[in-house]
Amino acid sequence: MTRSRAAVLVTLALALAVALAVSLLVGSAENPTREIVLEIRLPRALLAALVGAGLATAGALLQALLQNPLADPYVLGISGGAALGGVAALALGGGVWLGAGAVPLVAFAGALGASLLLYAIAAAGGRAPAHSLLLTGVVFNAFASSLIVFATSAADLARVAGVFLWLIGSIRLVEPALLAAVALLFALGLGIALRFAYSLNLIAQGDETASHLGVDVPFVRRWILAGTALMIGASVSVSGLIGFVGLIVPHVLRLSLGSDHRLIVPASALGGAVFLVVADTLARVVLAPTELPVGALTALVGGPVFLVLLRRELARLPA
Amino acid sequence: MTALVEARGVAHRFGANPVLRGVDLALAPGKLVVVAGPNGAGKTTLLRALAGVLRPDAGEVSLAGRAITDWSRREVAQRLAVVPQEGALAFPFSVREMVALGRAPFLGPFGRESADDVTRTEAALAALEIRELAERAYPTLSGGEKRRVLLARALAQGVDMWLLDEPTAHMDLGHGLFCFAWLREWLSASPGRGVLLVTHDLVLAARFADELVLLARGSVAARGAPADVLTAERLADVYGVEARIERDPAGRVLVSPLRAIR
Amino acid sequence: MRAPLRALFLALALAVACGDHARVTPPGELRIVSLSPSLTEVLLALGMRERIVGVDQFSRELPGCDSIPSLGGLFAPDLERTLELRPTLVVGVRSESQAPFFAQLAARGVAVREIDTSGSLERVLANYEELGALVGRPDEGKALAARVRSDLARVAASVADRGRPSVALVVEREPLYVAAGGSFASALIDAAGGRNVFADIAKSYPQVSLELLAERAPDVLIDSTQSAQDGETQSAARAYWSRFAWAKRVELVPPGVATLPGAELARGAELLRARIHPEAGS
Repeated sequence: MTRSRAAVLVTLALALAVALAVSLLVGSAENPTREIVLEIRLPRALLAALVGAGLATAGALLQALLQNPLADPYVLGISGGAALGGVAALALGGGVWLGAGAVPLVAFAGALGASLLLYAIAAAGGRAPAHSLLLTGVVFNAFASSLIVFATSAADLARVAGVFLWLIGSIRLVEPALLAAVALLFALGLGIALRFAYSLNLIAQGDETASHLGVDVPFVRRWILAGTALMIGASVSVSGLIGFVGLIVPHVLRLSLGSDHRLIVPASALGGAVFLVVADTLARVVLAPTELPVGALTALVGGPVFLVLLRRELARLPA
Repeated sequence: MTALVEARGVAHRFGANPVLRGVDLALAPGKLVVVAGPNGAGKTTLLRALAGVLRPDAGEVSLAGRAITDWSRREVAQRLAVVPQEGALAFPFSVREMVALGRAPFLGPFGRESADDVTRTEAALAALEIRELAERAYPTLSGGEKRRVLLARALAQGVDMWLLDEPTAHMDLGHGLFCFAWLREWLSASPGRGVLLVTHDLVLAARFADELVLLARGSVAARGAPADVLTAERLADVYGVEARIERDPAGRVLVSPLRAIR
Repeated sequence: MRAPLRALFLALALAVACGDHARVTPPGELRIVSLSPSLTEVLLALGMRERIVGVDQFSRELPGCDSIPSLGGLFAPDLERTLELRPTLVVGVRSESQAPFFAQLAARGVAVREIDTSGSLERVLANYEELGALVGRPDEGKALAARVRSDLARVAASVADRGRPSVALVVEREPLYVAAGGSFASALIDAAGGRNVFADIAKSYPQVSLELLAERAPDVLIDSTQSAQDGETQSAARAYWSRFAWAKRVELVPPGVATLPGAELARGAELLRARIHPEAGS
């Protein structure tokens, strides 16, 4: 790794350490005990870091894969599948035999199901697989949304609040086992992402150019989708649909660091972690003791930022 | 002598539309072969088949004597460079980054560049005279400058066989001439090199090609030295254009289109 | 001459007796529709069972109400069926989602009363009196309020000389909602001999952070989770709280006991007393 790349990553890692430290020091309890900090704040902060990293890395991968710097990790429908699974588990019960573990499990299964569908599309894709992927994703999301409405209508009131929170996305306290599972899945996804980061530079040139330069594009694409599915599935299954992280973090990093994915992929992981840890800290204190769902905050900030970025992007295009 | 790249009986259709009907083509070492023809003649499809990214319905393409399907994409890229038409680039890579990508077929899985890779990249930038553009973002360049970057990338790749798709499209006279002249020079700098390019530009093709292959409606209408291929009858037949063919004092063919026939 | 007259008279009487259905409700007759079990319970306590012509599906579980026509769940009552019953008074819980439904009824000239049931004990007792006045039994309404008040005082007196453990009442785990100072559940906790750790928050059922609950570390944590109705075993609920050392004593209470303001608030207070002061016997 070149020296400047390493320097950037070290800086981001330091920023993450600071963000985590602040997150541990801040909260609605006035005189927090050690127990509160270690048992409640620390797991939450770690989860925020993992989810943020997962979403941002997945966003970076998909933006390259789809050759669209403003693509969102939710655009391919993987999140739709996860959300549908989560809502189904939440709204229709399912706490029966698996207890609290039911929701993340079913949500992850939903994410995998959606990914398999995309995998099939990607494998069959001819000259414009990016378009087929996008279209499939849009349709699948619409389909999942309608099923979510069905499930929510059938649910009774007490569950609806939970479903709402799920759909807008929030960080909560999870059991250590679940946290470890998320960490493992994220590590696998990140491993795949780092392995193929260089290939992304080539795929970003276009599928044929990448092919001309020696990349087995269908092979790489499948692996990238797998890594993306793992990270999005793991993130959404525990925290619901937190928006804008996967869209904005990699895009903004590209604006300041360039488009070399050997840097952008790890930088997105770190940057996403920082972003979400900070957002979650704010979400916890802004309306204390009530906790704002972090997805509401990311949408509040992310919406206008996205519009600004979009304007810049459009202005950049040749007349 | 084995051809560098060869096509035998290549045929392909898109849907119900036959685009190539049994084309034979060979690129011999030391030669500049130009494939020309009207729009829709199948030139780009042929090029993609030769590059190994399109699998034709019929016929065979071989690279260095072996069927191209027997090579992996990486192995192909270590022998053959393809210079595409521009294409839109969604990400603002710098010129240096673009050229450095030419080393991709030789890098390990994480894309670590050795000192040799860096040297070749810098040498390519110098050879195409784009050193001062190195830090500029590729999408901000003019058409001619972009073409030089793509040529530099192929040069950095360091292989002996080049396929080019419309290298002078959208380029002004000066850049077009530079491009062809540069290719000729590169070709003669070392034995065993070969260039095959597809173009619309008959004027430059006639001037620089060793062999001209005229493609019309998916088949080879004529092949040979430009002087032999470019006759008034042939141009009328293939392009529907009445043209005057002349020779300059050095014996090079000059084509002057006069008017449309059909 | 007399026989035909008598026959005619009989025929007329029969006709009058059988012709009920087409009759328009004469003014003054009370036909009540109740769309909340807590309100139904109050109406029953006021002796209005015979006047109730329609209820929500959950009210049917109250004693003697299984034959009353159901109008659906709490949040999507059937407008057509409601109108079919020709109610003169519809009472329901004030809520955003039911507001259009009530507006529709009001537009058709039906008297609608939205009762706010989420408030403090005083509010709930005032509701009794309000309902009493609405149905023409103001004295019964006042009497009911007085009875509940004295019942609660009795419960409080029974544990007056014991310590006052700190209590938190959780109505939803994720997100965490608790009964705070503005809810009547808080008053029930008080009557049951406990001290609500969230009494300082003026709202009824606010969402609070887990760490705030951890900081206030109640002696008794009452888990009355609304969503724990179907199939969730007690062990699963306890497993949730067992992760935290500060959740010293967890008592599971069926949802609604302390949060649905029916007519038997004292029963809720007694149940809470049994959990907060088990040594006092129930």
